Amino acid sequence: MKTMHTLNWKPPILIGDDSGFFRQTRSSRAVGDLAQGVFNRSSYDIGKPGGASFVVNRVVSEACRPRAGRYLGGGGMQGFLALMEAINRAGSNRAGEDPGGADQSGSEGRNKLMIGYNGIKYDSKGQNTLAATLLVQLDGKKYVAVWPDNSAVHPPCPCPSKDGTDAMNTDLFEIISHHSFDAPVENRIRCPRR
Amino acid sequence: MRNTEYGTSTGNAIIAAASGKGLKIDTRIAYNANSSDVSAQVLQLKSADPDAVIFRQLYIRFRSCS
Repeated sequence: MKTMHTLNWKPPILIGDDSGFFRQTRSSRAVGDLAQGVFNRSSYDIGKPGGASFVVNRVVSEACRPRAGRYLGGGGMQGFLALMEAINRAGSNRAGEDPGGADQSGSEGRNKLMIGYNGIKYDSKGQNTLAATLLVQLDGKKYVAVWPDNSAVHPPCPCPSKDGTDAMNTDLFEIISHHSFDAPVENRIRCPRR
Repeated sequence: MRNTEYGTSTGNAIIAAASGKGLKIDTRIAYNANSSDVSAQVLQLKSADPDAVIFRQLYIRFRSCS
């Protein structure tokens, strides 16, 4: 981002794929002003403020903070849910206990309260076929979930240019939105800047 | 793209997914994982004037289907 700024150029759309320097906190402080509107692929989002996911994730994270010394991030929350799922499948949290008739076939947790967590079901190569993701966009100092639409706080917004106007070509933005959103246009929430 | 096996394989997956959506991939630009200066790659991007750039320890530029 700094090199792009130095060379006086920024693409209309910039997408990071869980890129280290786009991550929250340290990077957003370092290049946040230059990176406004940048998209990133993420594995976790706390959800819409006030929503069930937001409340549950905040409670779990607050409960773990005294022991962990910090709030749980995406990896910690995913690990927590994976552990709960393993216990549920085993039917017990006692080590070495015979799982008996417990469900070992995998689960589909799409109704669970974790954004970016659809459950665990491994294929023959050990890949989780229920692995999920979401797209976030840097807005101020925070990333905001923008896709999939059922988890989005708001839809993708055009990247602001240096003069504060939307740099993204409107037609292109509509194409990207069309590719990104399954919901009918009339049912989508609008970008707050548009 | 980051000039590693990981950068290459994830880049291939991104390009396949984008192509499946009708997005035209113009260029992949590699950079050395140990490089601290990406000016040359950014200048390449600037010259190409892409509609969008994907960074996955790699740069991919693509154009819309228009």
